[in-house]
Amino acid sequence: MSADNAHDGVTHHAPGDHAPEHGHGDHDEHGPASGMMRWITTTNHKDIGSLYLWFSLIMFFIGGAMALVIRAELFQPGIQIVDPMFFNSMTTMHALVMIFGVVMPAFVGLANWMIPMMIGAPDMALPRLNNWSFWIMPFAFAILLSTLFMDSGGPAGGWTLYPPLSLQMGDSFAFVIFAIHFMGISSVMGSINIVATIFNMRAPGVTFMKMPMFVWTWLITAYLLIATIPVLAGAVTMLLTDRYFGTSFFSAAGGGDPVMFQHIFWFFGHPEVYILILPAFGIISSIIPTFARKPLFGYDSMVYATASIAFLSFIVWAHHMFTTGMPLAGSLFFMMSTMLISVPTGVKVFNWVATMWRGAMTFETPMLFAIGFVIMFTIGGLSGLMLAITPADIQYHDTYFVVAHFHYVLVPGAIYSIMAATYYWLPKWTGNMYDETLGKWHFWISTVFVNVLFFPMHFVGLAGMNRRIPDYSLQFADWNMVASIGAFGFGFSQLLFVWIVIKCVRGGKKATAEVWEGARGLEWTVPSPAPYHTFETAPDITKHMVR
Amino acid sequence: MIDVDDTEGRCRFVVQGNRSMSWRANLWLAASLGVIVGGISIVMAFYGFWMIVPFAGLEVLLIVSCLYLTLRRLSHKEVITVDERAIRLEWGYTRAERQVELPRQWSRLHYACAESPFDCGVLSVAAHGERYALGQCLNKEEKKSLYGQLQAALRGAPVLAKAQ
Repeated sequence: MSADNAHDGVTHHAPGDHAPEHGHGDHDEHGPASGMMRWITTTNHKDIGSLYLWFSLIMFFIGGAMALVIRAELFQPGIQIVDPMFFNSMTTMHALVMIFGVVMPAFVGLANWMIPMMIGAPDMALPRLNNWSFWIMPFAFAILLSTLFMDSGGPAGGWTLYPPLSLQMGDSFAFVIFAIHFMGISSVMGSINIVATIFNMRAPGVTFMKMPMFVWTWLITAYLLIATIPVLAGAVTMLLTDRYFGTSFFSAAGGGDPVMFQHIFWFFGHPEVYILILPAFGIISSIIPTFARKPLFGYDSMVYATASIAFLSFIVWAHHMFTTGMPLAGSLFFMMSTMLISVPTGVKVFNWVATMWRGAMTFETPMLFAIGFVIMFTIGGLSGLMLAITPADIQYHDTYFVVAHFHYVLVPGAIYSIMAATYYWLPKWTGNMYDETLGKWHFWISTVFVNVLFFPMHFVGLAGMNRRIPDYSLQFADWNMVASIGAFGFGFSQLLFVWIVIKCVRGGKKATAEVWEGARGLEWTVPSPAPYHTFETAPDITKHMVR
Repeated sequence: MIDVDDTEGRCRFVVQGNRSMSWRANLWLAASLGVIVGGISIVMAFYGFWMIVPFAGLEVLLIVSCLYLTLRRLSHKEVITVDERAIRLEWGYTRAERQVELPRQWSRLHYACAESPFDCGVLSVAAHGERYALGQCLNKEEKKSLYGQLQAALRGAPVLAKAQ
């Protein structure tokens, strides 16, 4: 638009013109609404990030309570506390809540808070969509959890919803499918927003190869979500039509194939596994350089490794299905492609260790959680490598060895990364330092109990204990008792985490803008707490980018 | 972002949000996502699971709409021109879609900002009882800076620094 060609049609001011206020911003100039309306109507990325994180924390305790029901029942052999149907509901709901209600929203919350600040953007690209993508979640989970109070009970066929078992559940089935659709819509909207933000709202000079790893990993995660959520939506809709509208997509009686559901589900499900861990890689790649006081070793290789993992995640799905039977060529392909993932993952672990090598390390709570992540995620990765070997997997399949594997990846993996991120960025969010002593206590108590909880599962799994059973053979009793003690210890130690967070939100030693001595990146250039509106004009990035 | 052009008795401020990718590059982005999502759904449909196709289609539609809205919003410009006689305000995307001219001698700048960290301030120009908000895509510091520069321009003083 040029002033030179703007003379035509100029509206000269005259008294009495209609309201002249003109703007295109989504934010209120005077800040948010007061009270509850602030949170319901907010379009501010920091508010929405906080909403996601609080929601995730609440769901963590709901999902955790379900885990404690499971572990209480498994404390001793025999049916002790709950009936088997409810036990199965608990295993199913625990998974759905923890995956879709805890880990994913927590990462989306962290993305909301940090991505705009990391790339020098004033907000997410689509603030109203952002509000919607959050507020769909509580409704989705209200529907999902309400099924537990229905006559037919909650879903009990496992979070994978394999037919024909899932088609035999009661009328709550439709509600579960509806809830999954809502979760999918929320995820897709959040992902598109992240993609639009990263591509279009980077500050001048923030080129792709200068973006923090957290931004990179989230960009790739968003691609995975966009690619796979329609597959999940289609799959569960086909279950719904098989159940209520007489179709036979997965019904052998009508010419369908139940095994095909497994293929479709895991075509979504395996990338989903990486959706749950790639942002964690980004978090750890931000924290370790800060406390090692060294730049991240092998930034470029980290980016390419993340992209490789994402690509490979689309061609490994059938390793979840070795026992369904498949041609030898298929088995070999999926075994080898799965093992191939350990290469880029190994690159990452190597780079983290190399970053720490000869660094001026200090061990504040975020760093402790990050180191805990590297060690224990690697344990989960190694057991995953064992599971990739087809003949071995046929023995391990559906045993507690698998349970131990994915819990090592998700709890001391994904959950630890979320806790590390919370401790790392909490001073930036609140303007107050958290209680470092309590933080360290939280780490050590959690780490002891998480290993007491999950490590014995390797033993009972290798000895042949099946997963998803409320009762078990006497020979597994001792390790199950140990695991249950670990579960209660880990569960209750998380109350300490809540206390630390609330204490920090309410006050404490004031944080500086930089917070951590070795911190680099645009988010550390703004004051602590971060102002409600940041970077509405693009910042000068030259001094502050991570590379 | 604020770009300032202060030449020969006329000072022009162009205010707009930062945009890091072109329309053309966004088209490529949408196309790449469309190919991934469309490709997967077509393969699934080939094996009989056509119900994935409508969800994929809806998603691609949402992607295209979201990218279009983002780019449109980021393309919005506000041009403030101060010359000897008037203050001209223009708003638009690719051309001036709305224009207002205020007599310079009757125009008053106003900047109000509460101490609250939530308040990013309101900068406006008023004349004859009408008020126009300026720089709504800017934050507190930027509005203050624009306010100072506009004041200088109205006084006829040179506006030296390019705003950050």
